[in-house]
Amino acid sequence: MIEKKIGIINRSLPHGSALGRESLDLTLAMSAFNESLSLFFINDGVYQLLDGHNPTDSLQKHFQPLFKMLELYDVENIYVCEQSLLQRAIEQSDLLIDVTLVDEQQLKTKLALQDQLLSF
Amino acid sequence: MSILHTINSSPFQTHALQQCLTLMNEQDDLLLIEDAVIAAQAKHPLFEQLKQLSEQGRLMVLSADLEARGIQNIIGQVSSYSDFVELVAKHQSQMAW
Repeated sequence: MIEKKIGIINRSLPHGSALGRESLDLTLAMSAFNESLSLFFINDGVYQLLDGHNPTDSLQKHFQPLFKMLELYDVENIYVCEQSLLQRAIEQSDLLIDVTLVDEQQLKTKLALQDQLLSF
Repeated sequence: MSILHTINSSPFQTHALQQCLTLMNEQDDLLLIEDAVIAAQAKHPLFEQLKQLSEQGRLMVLSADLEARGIQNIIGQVSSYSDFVELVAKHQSQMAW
């Protein structure tokens, strides 16, 4: 069977909702049986990767370090929208993990290649 | 490969419509559902852009959600739940904004 290409799209800020953590849990779980995962961080989703979260005072789970597991789990296609970073005055060097920056045109092309999209 | 985009929030409430339009490919379609159906009726800043999409036959609006809100759409093709299913089948993937 040909493996489905799955795109996981992160569009939400961390800690305002559980979407970010759920997306990451799903990604790590799926990486065990799918090698064609692509992660996309667009719009407010780029804040998921902004290094330095500290949600302990707001009594929430500090899940950001788990992003470092992605490399260990061989999830290598991690795309971050360049325009979204620019609008939010975030540099690539501010991000917790290594990512590939893409512009909107590249993003469109990459999204069209996926068999299934999961939006968070 | 094409994507069916669905939006469920009002353009006055979220930026989902704007973000979606930025990332839509030429072969993609857009279906407005739930609160987003008002985007096919109200005068919001992206209306003209939606109108163009509508003229290309790429904008659909879910009938049940229009009716629930008593809204008459000005643009977009009114679609039933079974049209929704056909749209899903027609496209490679779906993106829920």
